[in-house]
Amino acid sequence: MDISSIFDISAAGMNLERQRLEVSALNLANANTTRGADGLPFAPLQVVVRSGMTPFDAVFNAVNGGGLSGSGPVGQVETADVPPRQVYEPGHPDADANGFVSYPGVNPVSEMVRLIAVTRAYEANVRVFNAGRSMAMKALEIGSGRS
Amino acid sequence: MIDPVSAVGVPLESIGPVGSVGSLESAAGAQPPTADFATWLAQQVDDVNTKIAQADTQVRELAVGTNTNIHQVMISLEKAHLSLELVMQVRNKVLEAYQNMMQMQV
Repeated sequence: MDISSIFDISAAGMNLERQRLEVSALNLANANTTRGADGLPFAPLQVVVRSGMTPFDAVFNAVNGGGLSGSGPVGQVETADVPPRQVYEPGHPDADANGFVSYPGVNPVSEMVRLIAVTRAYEANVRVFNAGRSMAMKALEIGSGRS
Repeated sequence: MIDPVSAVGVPLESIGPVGSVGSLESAAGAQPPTADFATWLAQQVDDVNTKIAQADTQVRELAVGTNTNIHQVMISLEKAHLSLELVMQVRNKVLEAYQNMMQMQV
């Protein structure tokens, strides 16, 4: 049944949104982590989304005019290049010589906006899934109404 | 990704004009299907069984805690449900045809 490929694509989207939610949760939970295992403040993470199509697939499709389809979006977790937030706390054990503590550059406002976007995108994937499912169920109703 | 016309699998030119449909020669010369219906049905039932077993395994994993992917479980359940529905509809059609045959006056 070909409709299951739609389900797989939706599942890939849902996996991605779940991953983004996990990264946001990690960022918010570590918003005040001043020292990690490496002695540095926590580096905020971000998910970079790329198409699941490999370069080989792209070349194959270009030569043969299609045939291979990527397996949906693939998210990669990378550290965001955000400068740390400097707070003057001279008594803090992680303070530098000038008394400043480097907090992770996690922006709670943008993380909240990202949470909303992730939730909506997940819902959109679920909606696509439900649309495919109801189309398949409708197709199975063909011819069942006659007496 | 999917060309809407060629995705059907039958090029439009191969369908042919409508007038040739009713001729007996073309019907007699038609190739019988290579795989019979019983094989197809058995394969489909097998497929449904596999999908239900897969969904069952995933539900168990979710309950135990090794798998925390709720949407994957739900999607597997829906896939199993749709496959089962397809086989049920085919069964309904077959039974309907059989009953029509049995009600025939001789």
